[in-house]
Amino acid sequence: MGRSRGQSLVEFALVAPILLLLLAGGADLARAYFVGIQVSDGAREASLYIARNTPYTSSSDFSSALPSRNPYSGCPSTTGGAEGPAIDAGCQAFGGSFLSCPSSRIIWTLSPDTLPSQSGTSPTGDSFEVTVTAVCKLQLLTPLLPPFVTISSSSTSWVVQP
Amino acid sequence: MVLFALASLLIIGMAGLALDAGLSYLGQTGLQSASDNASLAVARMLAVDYSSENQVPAPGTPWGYSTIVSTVNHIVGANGAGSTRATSYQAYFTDGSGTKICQFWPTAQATCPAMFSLSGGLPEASGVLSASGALVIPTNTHKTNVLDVLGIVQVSETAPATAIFGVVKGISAVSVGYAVYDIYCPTGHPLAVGEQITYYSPQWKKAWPCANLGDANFKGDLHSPSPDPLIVPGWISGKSGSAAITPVKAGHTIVVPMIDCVDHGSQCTEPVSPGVCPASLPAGLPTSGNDVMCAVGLIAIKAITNCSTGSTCTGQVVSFPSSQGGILICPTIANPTCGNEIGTQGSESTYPELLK
Repeated sequence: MGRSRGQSLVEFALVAPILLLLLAGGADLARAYFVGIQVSDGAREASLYIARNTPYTSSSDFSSALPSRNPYSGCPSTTGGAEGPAIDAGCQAFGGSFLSCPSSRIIWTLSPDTLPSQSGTSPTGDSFEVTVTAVCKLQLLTPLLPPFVTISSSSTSWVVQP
Repeated sequence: MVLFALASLLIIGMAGLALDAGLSYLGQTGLQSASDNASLAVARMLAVDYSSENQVPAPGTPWGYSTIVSTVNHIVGANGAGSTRATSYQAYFTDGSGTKICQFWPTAQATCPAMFSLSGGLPEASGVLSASGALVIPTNTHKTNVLDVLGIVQVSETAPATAIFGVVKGISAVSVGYAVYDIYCPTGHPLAVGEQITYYSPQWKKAWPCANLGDANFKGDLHSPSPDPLIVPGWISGKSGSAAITPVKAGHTIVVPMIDCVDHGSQCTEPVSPGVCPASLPAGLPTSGNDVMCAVGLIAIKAITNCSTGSTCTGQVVSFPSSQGGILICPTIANPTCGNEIGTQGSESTYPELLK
């Protein structure tokens, strides 16, 4: 009886780290998927906002939709700030769950960040392509893995100027 | 150890399953970016074509069929990366309700480019506006990582998206001056969306006693010839107008505010009881005197056929929003040249706008 209990204990001691590693890995994998979807949704919503919010009649008109800095880091708790309405739209994808990417670890990059003068590919001359990239530097729980993994997604819209 | 080995197989199998399902779901979100952006681009381009062909409000060069197709190709390709990239896609033009009209990718039905033959602008068929948007359906087919053990060697994700444009259902500051002059009421009252109606084409000046002000910014009651005071509610009077009179083209949507009177002195008397008005009206309307305003609203009418100035034309009610007080008391017409003018000048608005 005593020998059997000791054997179980040894077996458990051997197996437990592997199980915990699998458990943490599974949790990280699930969270990475979740954040991956958030990042993809966020980039898409931000680029769609820029494409919907036409026409842009001047450089300042275009700039008013964009963040004051490019790249822009974070998702503010309130909308209407320096992040601009496009990032506000993208940040909607990141709320509401403890699994979400922390605001401080989100980085937005928009290209172009100034209104192009002529694209040369549009019949109207001033339509252009805009790409929003959202990046989340996700902290992992699993030992033996790198402490952070970078998850990014881009969305490209065609801004049609009427 | 045996138990652990068996359990490990189960755990690894489930983890693998989660891996494939998760990758598939992640891939779908990437495809959604492709379809959302591509369909939005098409709707925007069609809106430009609409403006171009209809010369409102700021006509640009139409994009035309081939440019639209190549742009969709480019946007679908530019969205997604690696496993989330679309391996194929289908694209269709749709009408204003999102119903497919014709497929233009990967194979183009002959009716698709043919629709653009008219001035290279907005697709039209039989003289009636047809294409108002696009449905894009990207698909990504890829091999599985773990599920192939179970015989599922590949999976497909798809993420369809539709974007359509329409016309502003209201008065826009951008006016080109079509005027719906007389709306001859059909049998049913009030008007309903989808109902076919007959209306007078732009004919601003009419013979006495129904002469009107001819004011470029006139947007109110046609029954009130000068020097009667013109009283219009604020949501109309705040907008600018135009005196230009242009024949209405098939497919054009005409949006006009409506103010009708039940009693306007000796000039135009309608066969309805004076003073009978709906309970709720926008502020600013006279509810007593010679100009009791009884029908207020906005109506959007799509012309079914081309309509020259001064002729009687056929159109279809597109929108008749009650949120704008959109009710219409339509009496039996005693005198079609006088009695039942509903409409205005300088308030037509065909500014294209995305609907979804």
